[in-house]
Amino acid sequence: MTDYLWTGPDWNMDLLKKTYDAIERIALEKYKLNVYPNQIEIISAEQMLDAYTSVGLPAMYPHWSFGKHFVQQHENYSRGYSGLAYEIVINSNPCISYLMENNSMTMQALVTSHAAFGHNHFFKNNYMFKDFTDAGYIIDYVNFARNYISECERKYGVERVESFLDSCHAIKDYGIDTVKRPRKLSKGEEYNRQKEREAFIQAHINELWGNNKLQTSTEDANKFKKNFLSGRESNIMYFLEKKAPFLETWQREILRIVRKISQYFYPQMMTKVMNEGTATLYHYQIINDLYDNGLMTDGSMQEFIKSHTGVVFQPSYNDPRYTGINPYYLGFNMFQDIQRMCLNPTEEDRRFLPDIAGNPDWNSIVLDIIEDFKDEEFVLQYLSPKLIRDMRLFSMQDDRESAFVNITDIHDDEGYHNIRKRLSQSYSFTTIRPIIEIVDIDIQGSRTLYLEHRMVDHKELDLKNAAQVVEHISKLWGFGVVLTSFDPTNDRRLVVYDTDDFR
Amino acid sequence: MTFIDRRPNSKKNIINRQRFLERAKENIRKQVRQAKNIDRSITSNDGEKIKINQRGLEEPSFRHSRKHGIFDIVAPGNDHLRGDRFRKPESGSGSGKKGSDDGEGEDDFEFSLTRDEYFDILFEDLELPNLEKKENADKVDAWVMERAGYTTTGPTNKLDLKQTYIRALGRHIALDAMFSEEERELRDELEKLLSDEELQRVRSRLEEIEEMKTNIPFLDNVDLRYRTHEQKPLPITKAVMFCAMDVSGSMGEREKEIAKVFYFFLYLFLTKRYQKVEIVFIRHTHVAQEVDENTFFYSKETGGTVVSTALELIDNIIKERYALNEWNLYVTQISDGDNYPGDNETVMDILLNRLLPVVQYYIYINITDPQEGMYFSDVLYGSPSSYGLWSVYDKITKPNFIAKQVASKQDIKYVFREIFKPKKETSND
Repeated sequence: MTDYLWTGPDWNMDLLKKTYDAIERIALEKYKLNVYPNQIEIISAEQMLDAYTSVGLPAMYPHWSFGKHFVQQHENYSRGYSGLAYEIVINSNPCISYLMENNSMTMQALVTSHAAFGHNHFFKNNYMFKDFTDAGYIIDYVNFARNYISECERKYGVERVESFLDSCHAIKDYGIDTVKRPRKLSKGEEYNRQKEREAFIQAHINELWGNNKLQTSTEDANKFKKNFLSGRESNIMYFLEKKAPFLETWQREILRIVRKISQYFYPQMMTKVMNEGTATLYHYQIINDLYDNGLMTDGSMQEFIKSHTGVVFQPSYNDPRYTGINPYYLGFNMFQDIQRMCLNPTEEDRRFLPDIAGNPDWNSIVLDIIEDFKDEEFVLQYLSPKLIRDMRLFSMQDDRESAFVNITDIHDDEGYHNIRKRLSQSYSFTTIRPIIEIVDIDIQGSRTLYLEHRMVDHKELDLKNAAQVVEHISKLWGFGVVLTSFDPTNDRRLVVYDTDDFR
Repeated sequence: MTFIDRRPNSKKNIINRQRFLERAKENIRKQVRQAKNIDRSITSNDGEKIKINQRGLEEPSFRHSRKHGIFDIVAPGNDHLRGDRFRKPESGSGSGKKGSDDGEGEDDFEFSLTRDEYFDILFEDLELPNLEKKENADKVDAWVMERAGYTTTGPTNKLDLKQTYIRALGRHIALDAMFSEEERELRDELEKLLSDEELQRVRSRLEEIEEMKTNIPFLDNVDLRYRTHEQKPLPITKAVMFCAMDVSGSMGEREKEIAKVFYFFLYLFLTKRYQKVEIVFIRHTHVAQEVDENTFFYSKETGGTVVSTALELIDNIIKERYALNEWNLYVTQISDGDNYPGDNETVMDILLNRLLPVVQYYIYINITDPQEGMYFSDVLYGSPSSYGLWSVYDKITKPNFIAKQVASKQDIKYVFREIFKPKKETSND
């Protein structure tokens, strides 16, 4: 009668396997999840910290900044400030999840449902991941990257390589083609093509810069310039990799590596709420199923509830613990709300989402949503009035130069639309990071590179950081760089930083 | 589905941490140099928390300034009406993060060095010698008998039967084989011989061999093996460190800081060489008192200065608690050089006759003013009383007595160089 998968806190490989099988059965048969093969790794707390601070990728190339993060996180962990992320999972094929050795068996079951099935399914099916990453390839690529960088350190010295990496890291958010989907490379191609690339790039550079004599006609001058820049360029890393004149081939390759790895993280940046929502929803469903089927003890269930509640906890805006909206909280509640609208719709729900209200097959609807949306769109489409009320969401306007904050919308009929819109915007790429583009080059004269920051809502750049980043870009480009901020609402333009001022 | 156990393989982040420490070296060094060592207990095994600024450790990126602009934020937990406004809280609570202006929030951060890392940096900076290379100056007052293999003679109670019999057996086998071989040869010869004399010779030889084979002695002298022992010195593995300090008004925070660093190093030095190290704190003005570490460093006393009281107390404590055949004794005395003039003779007496004969080292540190400290000669001193003790100590030339002027933490290295100097060079006797 009592056929518990496990009792007590201790785990061993047999229990893990047995429980994995039970979870898999529910995930695949009941919820029709479609996952990559799982590779589950048992690690120590230190290794978890390590993975966490090396950007979550195993075999990441070494860098002092990861050491710094490690040391900071370690400090926090030792002081008990942060419960160590108990789940790190790699978007790859096979999908790699980590189980910490000092988790209880209940926690291992939770992490398995959450990461090995929830996240795994999300990685495999969401369109952003399908478009931007090649899951079968990333681990190999990171290994290639680490080896290549080690080789460079041997040849050119650790300091020189680390210093170059510092410059790459400064612009790592500016290497993404948000419009054009990049071509996916097949496994192993990277290695083989690297030599080819070296030769090709060098020839290209020579050609590009070799013809750099003063053009006699305006037409020729324009044509020459077009070789460098046609229109505005937001992929700064790609531009520098291909066109900066003085970079050595190993430097171009490293720039490319940082860009590729950033690109790998781009979809994760854009789907944090949905991804965590999916994983949390399914861990919640699956663990409850285990319990309902008599496979888990009451004690384990209590432990699960406590942990789950902690994960989805959301402090209010005026709570000293508040640090923003918890993606687990928002994601999980939205998916649960969608479930509710399917199974128990109210009149309001039918008005808000007539297509899904009352449809008993909530799971298929959730699976479809998982495939087709990213956070920005997800929130815009599915954040219901009821949820806004439950969460008591409100919008405020914080003019940094004023001592006061204005409440602009609250959870009433007037406010739902605006709140939804504003929250959705906060997940857009252009809100998360400033819009910076290459807009001009004085290619025949000083070779200065002109960057423009396009202001949104009058938000200005942090000057100290901007100055440092521009200096890094100048190092990579080889000539001067000027950064201006432009406010399209009032045509205001100001120079933020000009490297010439400091030479 | 596969399960992989990665735990055995956990060395990786050491590399990143090392690179970070390397990169932050200058910052860390600076902090360590400025750190208030006085707050750290000598015997503490804890790591040391240090706070460094992020210069050279920044990770810049394009980001929005928090000082300007209009931010539309959606947040949970509303308790207002539309159109309300409220005053922003002080930064640190609510939606604020630490710091507020450009380059914000990330000025300093704290992390922990391990105790070893901390001391490595502290001592490296002060050019203190590497504790690993050391001479064995331990006092030996006891001997222990240790097994040292086998000999061929000895008393019967040490006869090792097993070893002896092994040899006897070997001898048997060898002799037997030797005889048997000759026996075989003779018999062969016998086959081929015809004349009577030859036959007789061979036959009688064969009889001899038969005889010898049966008479191989069971045990022979050459088999005998005896266990043997030899005397080896047994180092005493305990040490006690006496810290005597003049705590009259002239010892301020600066002086105590220097003293503290000196004690750290001496303590580490001793703990690496002895299994057990104790510390005894003796403070004195015109009277001496044994106290705990905290009182020793933090409390202020007023009074005159009579050094001999401290030495007297040390001598008594040694006699009471630290048997000479069990403990290595180290005495350190720190003062600014003052002493009640009539006391110097008593001090010399106790030192030369009672302490120096029994201690490993007696170290005297005279903490001087930085200006004065440049010159170690009496002539350039200040008032007469300030060279009271020094002029007396300076004349002692025992090999286990060290007296040094120390004006800063940097000078501490001279004391230890003295201790580590090869023995031949030291004596001026």
